[in-house]
Amino acid sequence: VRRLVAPVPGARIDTESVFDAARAVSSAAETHASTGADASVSWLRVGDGYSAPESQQLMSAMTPVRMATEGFAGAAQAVARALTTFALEAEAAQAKQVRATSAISSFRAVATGSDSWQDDPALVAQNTRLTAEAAAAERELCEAEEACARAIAAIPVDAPAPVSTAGTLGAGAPLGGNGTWGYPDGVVEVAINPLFFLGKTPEDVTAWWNGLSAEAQAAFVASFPAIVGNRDGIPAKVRDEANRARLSSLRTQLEGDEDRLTEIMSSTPETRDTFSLYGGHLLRLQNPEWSEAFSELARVRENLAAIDALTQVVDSDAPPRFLLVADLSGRVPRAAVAVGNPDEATHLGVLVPGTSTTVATKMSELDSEAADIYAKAREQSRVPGDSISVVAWLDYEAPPELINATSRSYAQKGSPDLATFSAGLGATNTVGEPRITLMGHSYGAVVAGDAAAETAAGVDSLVVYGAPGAGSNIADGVDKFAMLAPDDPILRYHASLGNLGALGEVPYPQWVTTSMIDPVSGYLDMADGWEQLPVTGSPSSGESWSEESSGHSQYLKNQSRSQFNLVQVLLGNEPSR
Amino acid sequence: VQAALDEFAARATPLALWSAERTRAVADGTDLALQAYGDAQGDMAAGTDRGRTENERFAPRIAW
Repeated sequence: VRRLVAPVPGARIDTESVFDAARAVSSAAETHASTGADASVSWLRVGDGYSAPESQQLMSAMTPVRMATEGFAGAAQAVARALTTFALEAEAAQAKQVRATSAISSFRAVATGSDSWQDDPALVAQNTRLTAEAAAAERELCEAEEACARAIAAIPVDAPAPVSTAGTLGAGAPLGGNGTWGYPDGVVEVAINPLFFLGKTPEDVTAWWNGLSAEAQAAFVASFPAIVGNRDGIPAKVRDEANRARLSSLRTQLEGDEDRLTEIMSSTPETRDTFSLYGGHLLRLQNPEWSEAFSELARVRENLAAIDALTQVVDSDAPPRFLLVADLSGRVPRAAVAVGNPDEATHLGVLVPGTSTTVATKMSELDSEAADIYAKAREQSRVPGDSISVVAWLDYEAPPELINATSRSYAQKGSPDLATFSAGLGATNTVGEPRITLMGHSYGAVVAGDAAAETAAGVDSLVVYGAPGAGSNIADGVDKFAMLAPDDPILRYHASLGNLGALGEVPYPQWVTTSMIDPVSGYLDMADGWEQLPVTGSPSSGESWSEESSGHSQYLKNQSRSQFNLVQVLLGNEPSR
Repeated sequence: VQAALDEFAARATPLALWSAERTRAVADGTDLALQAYGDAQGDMAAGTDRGRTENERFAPRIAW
């Protein structure tokens, strides 16, 4: 018995509602993504003006926010697409059902009430066709529904980023950790705020650091070494650990940059275009990509050379070295390395070098000079319990050439950092009030003198040698000593520009050049409050210190009278006059 | 379809909450940072002591 085609039920899927739902999901996804993107973009606005060493890390911390919002939005958009597809297919299927409905109603009107239609082959055929059509439409609808459900089930959703041991912020932790993003309390709010340290003195920084839990301190070292590594007011051991860790990651990064830039330079022609001008002259236009890669590569290689120099220095066996500053974020690499733990030292010396010194070319030499002074000071120390630390401080951009060394601008930029560095040495010192001596050579004397003008720097003594000038307004209470070899060519500077005072007060009362350079002589304005220390002849208290320093760069020569005097000032002893 | 949507919601909710929370944290942090940034610029423009400290300490690091 054939069954009469059944009446078609009304459309069971409200496709308009499905379209509405798809639109709602899509718009929610869009809002979610754009809120995330806005947050990242507004953050980057801060980033535009912010170029601290940790900025790269801070920027990368924003990536998970963008990725997570985009990830969720992408998944939600896929749901919206699946729903839209389903609504379209359901609409088509239901349109077929509607078409079938009228045909079925008419057919049933004819056929109902009599089974005789079964004897009419034409009506039987029609019944069969209509039944098939209704079934096909229903099957289509079911298939669309199943396809939609399958599509939604197949949409991947990333889990919130798992806890990372690599220590990238926000590669992050699950919700509900102890502090934000699973970091201990007090970490993230500092890490994501580039201006947290604005206006904070080293003493403030030390107080902040001491107030952190041990877990939070460890999290800073492990995950944000750039934030604490170069920060004055953070204990030396912490800075050292953070900075040593950074050296290797910085090296990896820079080596990657070197490969990339080398590749750009080898695959990009140096010249973009060549024009012939009048008289056969050629005008060559350099390819901007090549030229950018060229200068960037020079910077990258300078930084790599600086890392090599620092690695060699901090790996020295004994005495222990403390990498207090490793800053590759600026125009030139900057660094500071202490010989001996400065936080445990009763007597601290800071060597400030002069013109044309760079981390790559000078750190090794400056470190061995610091190590020599450290050793001699330990040898000369008469007070039990005295402990020494001497810092090779190259955390400023020194004038590259002598010709630039007449400008105060390098000292204007460098001296505030030296003053803060010195204040930081005082803030983190655990033995009480350490005695701090700044030792400035050549242009470094200008930087050291200007730093000693800051009372907050806590400088006790200033020794300058081979100084063109020694800064201005040195704070009251700072003992001032000056040394000058009779054949130091810096005398030429005194003769020419000394009395103008562009580099601050000249710490010498007169200049008399010898026959080794043009024999001229003259007087300078009396250097007020500067005590002159000799650089030749042996001190009465030590016959073995008879080496003479000659010229511009021998003041730190071993067993020289100048080195002896430097050591005595460092120890707070009477120098030999 | 409803069952698939429910299952999707269960899977996607953690990510939605996670990303929303972080977005909010970043937005709040940025507001604070921009506020401090503006204050610092104001201090410096006004030549206050605080501004001088900010300038001396941070001018080399922040391209004002």
